[in-house]
Amino acid sequence: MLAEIGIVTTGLAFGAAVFALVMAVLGAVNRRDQFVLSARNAALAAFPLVTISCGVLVVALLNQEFSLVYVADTTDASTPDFYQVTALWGGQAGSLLFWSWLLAAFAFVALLANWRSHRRLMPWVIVATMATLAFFLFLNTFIENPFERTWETPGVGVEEALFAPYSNSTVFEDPTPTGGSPLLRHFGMAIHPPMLYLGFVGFTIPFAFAFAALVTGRLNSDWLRATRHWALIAWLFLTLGLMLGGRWAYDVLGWGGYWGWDPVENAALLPWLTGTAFLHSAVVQEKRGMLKFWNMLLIVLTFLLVILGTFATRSGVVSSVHSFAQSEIGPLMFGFLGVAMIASIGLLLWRQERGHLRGADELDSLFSRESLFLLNNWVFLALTIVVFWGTWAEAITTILQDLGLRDTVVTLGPDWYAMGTRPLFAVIFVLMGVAPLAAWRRSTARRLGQAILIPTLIAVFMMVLVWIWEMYQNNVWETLFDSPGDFFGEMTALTGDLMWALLGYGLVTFAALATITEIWKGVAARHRRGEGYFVALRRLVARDRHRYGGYFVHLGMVIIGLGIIGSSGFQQTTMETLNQGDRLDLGPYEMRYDQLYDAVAEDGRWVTYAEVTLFRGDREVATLNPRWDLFPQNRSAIPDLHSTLENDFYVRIAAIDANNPTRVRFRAYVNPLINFVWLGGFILIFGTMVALWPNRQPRRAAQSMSVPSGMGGEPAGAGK
Amino acid sequence: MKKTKRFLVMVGLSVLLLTVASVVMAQGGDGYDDPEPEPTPGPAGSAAGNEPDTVTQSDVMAVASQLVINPQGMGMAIPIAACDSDLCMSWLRQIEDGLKNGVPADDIVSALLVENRDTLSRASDMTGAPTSLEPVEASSTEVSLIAETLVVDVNGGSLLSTCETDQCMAWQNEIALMLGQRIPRDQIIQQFVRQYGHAEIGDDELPVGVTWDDVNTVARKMFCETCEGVPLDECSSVDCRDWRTKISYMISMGYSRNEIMDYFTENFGADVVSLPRSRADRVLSFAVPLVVVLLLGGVGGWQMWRLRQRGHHTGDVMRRSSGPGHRPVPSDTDPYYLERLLQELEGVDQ
Repeated sequence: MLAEIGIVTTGLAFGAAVFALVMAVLGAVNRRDQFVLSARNAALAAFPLVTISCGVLVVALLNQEFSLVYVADTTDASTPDFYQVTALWGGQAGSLLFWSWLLAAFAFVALLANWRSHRRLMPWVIVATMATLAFFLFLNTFIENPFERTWETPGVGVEEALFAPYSNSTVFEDPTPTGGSPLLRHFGMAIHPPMLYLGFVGFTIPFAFAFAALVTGRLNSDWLRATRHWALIAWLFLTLGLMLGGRWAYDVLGWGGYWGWDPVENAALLPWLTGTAFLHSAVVQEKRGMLKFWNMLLIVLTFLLVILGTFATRSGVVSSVHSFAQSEIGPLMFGFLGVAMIASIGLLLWRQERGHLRGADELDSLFSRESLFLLNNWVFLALTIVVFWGTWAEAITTILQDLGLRDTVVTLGPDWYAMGTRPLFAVIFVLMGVAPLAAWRRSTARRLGQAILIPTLIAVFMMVLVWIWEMYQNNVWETLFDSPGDFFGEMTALTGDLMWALLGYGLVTFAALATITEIWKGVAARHRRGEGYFVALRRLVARDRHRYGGYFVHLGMVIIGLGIIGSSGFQQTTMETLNQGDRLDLGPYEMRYDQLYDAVAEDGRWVTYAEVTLFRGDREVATLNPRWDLFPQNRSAIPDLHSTLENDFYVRIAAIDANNPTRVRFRAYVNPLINFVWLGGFILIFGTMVALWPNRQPRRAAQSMSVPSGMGGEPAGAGK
Repeated sequence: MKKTKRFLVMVGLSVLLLTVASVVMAQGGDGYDDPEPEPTPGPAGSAAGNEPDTVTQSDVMAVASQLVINPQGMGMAIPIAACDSDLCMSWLRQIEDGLKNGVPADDIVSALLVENRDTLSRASDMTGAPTSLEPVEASSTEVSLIAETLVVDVNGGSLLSTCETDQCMAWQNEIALMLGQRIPRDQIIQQFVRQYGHAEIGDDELPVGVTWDDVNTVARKMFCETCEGVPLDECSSVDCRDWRTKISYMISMGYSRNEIMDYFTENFGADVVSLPRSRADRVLSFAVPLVVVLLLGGVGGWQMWRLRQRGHHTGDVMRRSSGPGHRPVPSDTDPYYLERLLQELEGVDQ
């Protein structure tokens, strides 16, 4: 019965989305308000229908209805309740349904919230959102239906189908569940996909408004204001998704890192990059009426990259540890991407060609804030191109090879990304520091130079200090006194190794100082008027939450930058085989291997874990238990770590000697400053929340949304 | 006080040297593509021993094989080439020194016989006397046990037990012969290491002298072809384990990091490394985004220049805009923007 409800509601939701799409187009083209209203109602109805579908699937997962193929593929009898619920997005079909549910929910809220204020845009907003929803529900209904069951037919056997394949077929109630990937049984992984999906789906709403603006020709900043919060919310969730994915990788994969430039990680990073550029660029349009074309382009690119990322994850065209199994939805998704790209880019170019996207585009100075924001857009776009090429080079060169145009396939890994992206990230950090200090409209190189002088000097001083410290840590200074002839060589080698790290530290210091200076100026000015520092800060932030929220986000990024440079530039690692009682030295730590145990966990999995004691100097600092989780098909090496703000000691079992089971090979890492990555993430979230916090609308502004006559309406020459 | 002075000197020098070093290191590479092969970590005599103008282990062994230690009691005459006692080692060194100094082999043998007449004899003089216990036929298992502990420089580095070339078969036969002469296992292994530059497998599945850190330094730059997207040093599949073992053999044979990666790309495809190995692929990998970014940079520069030009002629734009038939005062000026302006002007008034 559950399956039937799911099948019917998913089908009805698909029908509602298609109906809404058709009626919205007819209503907009023929100017028939009833059609548009009908479209709206159908679009709103899609949400409860998909909610029922999702609810049914969750109930089936919790009740362990293994006759449903999806339930048997993603859970088994030993799966804990929490992970039975999260299995909703643990497989292809369920995650597509979850995607659809989120999109239906976002569309529901967006339509209700903006129906009156942006009435003219609404028909085309419905078209864009319902076209996307209809496509995903089509996949769910006809290709990847999570309510497919296992059927048993006398004389024929067992097969999987949506409906009974023969009149005498009965539901096979007792198939053997295979369960989901054990690696997904981690809290980070349980909530990482929903966060990413929220980010992905969230960007559909700004895109829908932009699309509506392009179609209707209402290209003023209405669509931008309507969607600014949506874009910020989507960006927040996408950021959270990326951070949680990184944390999961760090805690579970046992690689000692959190980011491997994996194609699927990159698929989520790409819309984040263009989304970040959009959030900055939108400020310029709001403040100066500039960069209208840019904002349209960036939000369209963000949406297309969202679809491309979904395609990459689900089609199997890129090699990744994160991919779903190869599926026949790939070509369909690629087709949808093509249609979306032709429609949106075509419209954008058409409007640009006719001059409808020109705003007050003029630069009074190359050193003004709007110039730097424009440069920021270019750098983010360049970074997007670099990461895009790195992600798709393998697929592109494989196609060329298949066509006989190339002999080899090019695969690009972390080394390539390090070389390709570092210079661009360096420029972004420079802009992060300089742009807030530049004035709008008129600014000169001299004024800007004066503003950045002190942060620059302190940043250089910081670089020198770090360099001296590293020379000390690596005993290079000893060489100067013991063997002066070797000193220059050792110093040069060390400096070469540290070049990027030193430059990185200088840049993040500069960006941090510039941001803090900017906040401090405002606080000090208020303090001079008699406000206490805390009150001054609070009121300063309350006065312009977007701006100061953005500064907090910058500070978060700076702290993340510190963590990334520390953990990637100064990571230490070793692998050694130890007998019980043996010790391993790494960085400031010494690890003693004490014992190896076998155990059975509550959920029935076999666990082999080692007990190791960690020392720092003579002091015992922790007892760690890296382990192997053993499953019928595979095993997972789950690391354990001792975490401090200074560094993490991270260890996993690499191998156990088959001839002597107490002899264990360990892989250990010391990751300096890695906790700054997570700390920066929290600050970044805080900053985004500050920016999102609603301002009290001044009464005048609220009243005047319908005024002044002759000021609103279509741009000159704009039409459909 | 002395410490403070020393610290101040260090700080001063640091500032000076950082400047100099930044210039020097800017000329350095990325540390990835080593221009020169890395030093050979392999066993002694592997690479250097093959140079034509030096004395090889084979030369030494050829001379040493003419000498045996006199049988004691019912024992056997042991060739000094198969003995690794300190005394035997000193004789081998003497032979090596003599050969290096150009002394004829016969003279070296004679000299040693004179100096050690109670201990040594010519092997040829021992005809009729037992040079060992009666030779026995070594089992293939015994040969395999030894062959499994020796890495040979075939196909990049392989276990002797898995190698099937003629040369490997000859080595395995030699092991069988030596076993037949009841030469101890350790001595056979040592002799092969000395004589042919083979590497011995230690007690951690690695050739002696190679560590897992050495292996991982190379492996972390590579991907296994069966595990999608997983770095080779982190992958736990059987294939990955085999590849890491292969890397350890190659390191023991003296291959550099670049040579190892070249071997794998030649045999398993260009996509097993993190950065393309061939110059053409590497140029392509950087050229594509660079060209696109430069093109976009050009467009961006042009856009900024154009906007800047407009900024220079703001007055003209306004005048043009006010004339008939020209672009009117922007009709898309949005109410919110105007409202903000009014609010700010209001603020100025207050």
